[in-house]
Amino acid sequence: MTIQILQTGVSQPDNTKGYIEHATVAATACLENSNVGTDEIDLLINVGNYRDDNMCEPSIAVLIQHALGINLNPLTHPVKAHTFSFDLMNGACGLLNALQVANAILSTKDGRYALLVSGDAHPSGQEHSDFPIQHASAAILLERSKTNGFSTFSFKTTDSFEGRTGFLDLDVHGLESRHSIITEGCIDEGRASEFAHNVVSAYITQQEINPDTTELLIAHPDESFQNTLASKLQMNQCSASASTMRDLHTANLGFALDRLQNMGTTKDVLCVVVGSGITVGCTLYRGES
Amino acid sequence: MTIRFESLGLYLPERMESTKVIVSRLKIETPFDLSKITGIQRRHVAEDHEDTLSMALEAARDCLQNSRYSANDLDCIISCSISRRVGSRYHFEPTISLWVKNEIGAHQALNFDLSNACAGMLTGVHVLESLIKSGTIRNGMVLSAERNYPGSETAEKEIDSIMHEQFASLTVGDAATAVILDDLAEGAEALHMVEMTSCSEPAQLCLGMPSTESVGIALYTKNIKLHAASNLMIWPNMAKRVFAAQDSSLTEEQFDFLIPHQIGTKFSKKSAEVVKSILGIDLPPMLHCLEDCGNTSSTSHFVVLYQALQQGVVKPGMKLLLVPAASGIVTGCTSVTIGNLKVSA
Repeated sequence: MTIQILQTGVSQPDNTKGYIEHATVAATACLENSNVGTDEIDLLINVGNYRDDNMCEPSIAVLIQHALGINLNPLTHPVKAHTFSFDLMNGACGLLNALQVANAILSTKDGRYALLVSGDAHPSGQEHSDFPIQHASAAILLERSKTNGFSTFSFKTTDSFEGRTGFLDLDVHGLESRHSIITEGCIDEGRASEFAHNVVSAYITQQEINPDTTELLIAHPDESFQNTLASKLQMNQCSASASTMRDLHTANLGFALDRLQNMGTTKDVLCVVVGSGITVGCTLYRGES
Repeated sequence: MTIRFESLGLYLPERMESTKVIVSRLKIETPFDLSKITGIQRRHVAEDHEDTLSMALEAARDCLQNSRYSANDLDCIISCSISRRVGSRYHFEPTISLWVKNEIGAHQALNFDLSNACAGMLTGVHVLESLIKSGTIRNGMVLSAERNYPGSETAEKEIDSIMHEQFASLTVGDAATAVILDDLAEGAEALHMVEMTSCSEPAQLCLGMPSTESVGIALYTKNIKLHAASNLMIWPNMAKRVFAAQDSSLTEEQFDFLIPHQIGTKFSKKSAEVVKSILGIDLPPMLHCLEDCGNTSSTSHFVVLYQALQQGVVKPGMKLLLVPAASGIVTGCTSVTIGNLKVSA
């Protein structure tokens, strides 16, 4: 079983907006450009690390669901699909995890449509010079399919952690904790590209992917990292990879898939995401050809 | 392929704190008896040196001890904690699942965190069941560690009226649980159904975030609105729908026990009355761990199950219905027949 992209939507970077506002804009754009009603969404997964007010409960997904008017209360607002929503977190690779999870759920739970929303914002909803991530969001509407789309995924991590940590420290932030966050550390890009090369090469072999007829999409904010990895893999990068923006973190892949969708490519696309961990995830999107 | 609960893990901190003592520390006099309303006499409370990660590791190791699997056999680790405290920090990156995976040496496992308030563990079971059923993986561990008590401490400092939104925080306790699922069920044991739904109208009625009044995490709950009959009516209608889709009903399923989310005895009783008024049936006998554990948020169903197995109340072959009631609101039906599950003494 596979899941295919029906529609995408984005909320462009704007560091004066909070995450739920961005996510609602992206998801609304996504749904408005589709023929799928808000009462037909079986699954809503939010993928984001940094959220408004450093909220820990309820899920951010259900707050987005509420803002979109999805499955408010089926007894008073009847629906065709009884939406289930939750948050999934795995740094920059979270959206790829959510695609795998959505595929598994739609194929085993008799669902048809999944809405995935990704992105981050500083908990204050304001610009902060020491916060390296752009406030933005990308949404993807997916439908269960039997032919094209995402099907098999591969994820690997290094045995010890390396990369960015993000946290609030109550002892440090005190009464400002609701609107404070610290991010520190980064991945060594040389080791990351080497690790990614090994993981993606193994996937290419395992899935019998022909690099000559498959496009490569690397969801990563650094163009030099993209070029290094593409060169190691000896594959041509799809132009949807290109990003001149600062780090969109969990929305990097969503923005790339939005560009891919707008390009209307029918080729197979190998999607690669690299994040803290070091975590590398990849999947093949089978195009219509 | 039949999926099952292969093994369970539990960690309860040794330190206990009584409801009576907690209430006595409030700045106000309470005209009601919190223990009487909730059935909560005391709860386990983590020591200062314990955090989400150390507690999660205790539960994961207990689960592995009760399992046929070792850490490097695991295909997946999903962490579902609401609290994300490691040391004095609340971490959004890296994931708790990655830390656990590296610490126990499950290096080949897929990992990610889920967050769905008090429905976290059951959301993890929902996701893991789908990943196994779809053939993506063969097994995996869902775990959660909840260091909830700091929310109670914030409430103690800030409650200044009997209508204060942090009263529900006085009911929480600390715990960590883990469950391994695989597709090697034997005999009658089976994870029959995991259905969940999120109804978002009450989404703003229970919010957890750092306080701006004192230093700490606070949980703001509009209890009366959240537990209004209009919200309690959602579950019986959902249960009727999901069992009818399998040409069955709550009665026909012949559950031995129902494990509700551990909010309080009064809440459980009110829920049962709503079910009776809508479906005209009595619910199966309910299992609670409220008296000694309080509300351990996302871990609650598995604390109850583990203790019921320890006490011999739940035995192999018994069929259970696990019902979440989480902020969102999230509800659902998890139907499981228990196999020969080993639990630590």
